Amino acid sequence: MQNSKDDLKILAYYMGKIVIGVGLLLIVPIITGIVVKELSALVDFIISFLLFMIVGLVLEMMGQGFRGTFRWIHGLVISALSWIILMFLSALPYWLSGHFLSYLDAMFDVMSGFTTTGLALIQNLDHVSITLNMWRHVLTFVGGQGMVVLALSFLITKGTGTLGMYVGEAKDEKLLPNVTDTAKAIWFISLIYLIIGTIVLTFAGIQIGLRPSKSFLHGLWVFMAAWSTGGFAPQSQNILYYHSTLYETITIIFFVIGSFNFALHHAIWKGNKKEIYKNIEIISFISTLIIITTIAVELFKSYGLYNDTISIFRRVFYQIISAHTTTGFMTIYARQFLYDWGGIGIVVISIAMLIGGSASSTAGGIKGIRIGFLIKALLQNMKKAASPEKRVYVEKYHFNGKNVLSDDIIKNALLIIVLYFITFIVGVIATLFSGYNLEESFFEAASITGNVGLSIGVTSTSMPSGLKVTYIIMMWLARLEFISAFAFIWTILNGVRKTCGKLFGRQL
Amino acid sequence: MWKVIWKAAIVILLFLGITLPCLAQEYTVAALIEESKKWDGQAITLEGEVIGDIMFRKNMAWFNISDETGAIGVWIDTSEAKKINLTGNYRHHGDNVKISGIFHRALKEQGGEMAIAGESIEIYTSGKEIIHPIQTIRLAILGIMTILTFIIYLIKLKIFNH
Repeated sequence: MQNSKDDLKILAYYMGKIVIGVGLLLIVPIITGIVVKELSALVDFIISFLLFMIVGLVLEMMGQGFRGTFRWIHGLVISALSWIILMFLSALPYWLSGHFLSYLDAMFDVMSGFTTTGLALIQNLDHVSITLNMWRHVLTFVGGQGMVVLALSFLITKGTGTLGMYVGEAKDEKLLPNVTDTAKAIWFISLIYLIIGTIVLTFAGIQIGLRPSKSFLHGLWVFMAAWSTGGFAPQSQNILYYHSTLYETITIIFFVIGSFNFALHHAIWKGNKKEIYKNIEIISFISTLIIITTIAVELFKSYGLYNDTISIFRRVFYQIISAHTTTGFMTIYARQFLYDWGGIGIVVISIAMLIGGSASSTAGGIKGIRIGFLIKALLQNMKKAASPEKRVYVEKYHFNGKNVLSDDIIKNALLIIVLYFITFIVGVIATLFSGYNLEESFFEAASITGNVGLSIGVTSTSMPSGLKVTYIIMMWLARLEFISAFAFIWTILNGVRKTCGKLFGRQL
Repeated sequence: MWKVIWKAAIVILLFLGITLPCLAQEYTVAALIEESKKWDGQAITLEGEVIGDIMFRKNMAWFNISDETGAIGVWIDTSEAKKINLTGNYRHHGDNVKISGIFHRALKEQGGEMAIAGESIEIYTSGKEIIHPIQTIRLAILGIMTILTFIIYLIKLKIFNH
């Protein structure tokens, strides 16, 4: 990208469309506010809606009449930039609600929702309006599928850069030949599950003693957070609020399904049910889940805290599978990780958080497929080392059919894994420097890097502003899987270099 | 003289002996969670606001109580739970109650949940409605922004048509 006027116009034009697209989502809380007659909250949301429209329209006008083609690099930069602009805008209704101590806290919660992390700095959550709770969960639901995917589905239909936008949001599976149709398919799958999930959780809510209207709202919100592996909940105690094995089990089913690759959903949808048994991501996920669960169960047996299967299932397995799918739903209190899980327990669950769910899904983390590639590459090298020199090994993996594991695939997977680890280490160091101990720093940094949302108690309004900003950047980088964020940063640096060159009268 | 001092000392010690344990029974949710091992199985009294829902399960009920430090679940007999009139949400501040019961680090009957097995509830302040007035300044901002959006939209239409 040359940072020419036309490049900037292209960015402004498509950014405008995305801002308007996401702004239109505010109609959902606005309608909610009208129905439940929360007039004060309603005013805040209409103000926010108008701000989205003003910014979107101005951006579109600025980009009007651009010349040249909408290219791949434009798409990448738009993806990364749109998440930042939308964070600033979407925080307005949060801040106006009076439930946040600062605008930074509000932006933290928005980025946490968009990236489906699920950590929250909201105050007095148990007294939040239905309207605001609706917005919190709509944000995380849309964040799971991707804001750009949303815009692609309904507003943007042309240009080769659309693929760049799609990939820029860490989704690289094309379910259908056309990227716009792929985006629509993702939404179709999610909306079908939204209906099923809400119905199931509504009945479960009534069963456990919630009033039908409340049961419906909680069912809708909890499903949105589960499917998007977001981890938000309408009450401060998260899933612990419901005190129910039934409710917890249903959430497990939905967040596990939500953590699967959309390509897998599409394959099953098309009748290829065998894919679920052969898919490398599923095999990788189940293998690591079994290993981590076994270690944790043995650990808790030695602690003697939970002595029966139900307790182990609800207090140990739930946190592990929530961590591994990067959901962040909790059925224990944050500080219990520190006091009840011990050092080894913290390391084990942190590994689950870092591995994460499937690629091209709503989940975060390194992703099971990359771990699968890494293990296969390792086995391939071991076989090579033990075989005659002339023998050629071709390693294959199953993902929507048989594929050859090329050196390029391994290289790309390794690069992303290394970048995740660098982000994680930066997070640990930043948390340590903010005055927290090693166990707390390790756990919270893993949760942020994996976009998980489990907390050991570090994330709170009292943590330093610098750490809040660091966590926001980490959530953004990890969710976009670095590529589009780096393209965006490179574009800015390039622009600064050119501007400086012009100012000082020479090319730097 | 010494007799008087001696008697006074005994009275003071007796007073402290009676009152200090009572003062120590003042818990917060955060303190219970932070020192769960210490308070496990102990009789406690916790004060706070009832939030959300009362979830009746046959003869027992679950509800959640919140103080300024956090929230925790209370598992209690239905007859006691029915004493609660108002629970906290956006529109209401729930009843402020005093719960007496046993604190459990992992309540086995409830899937290992950290909770209070409540014995009795005492309502010391009834819940009340919370008013959320619409601020005039925000209505004014809304009006200005509506006009601004309309003007920008018209300009955009003009540019597009041009």
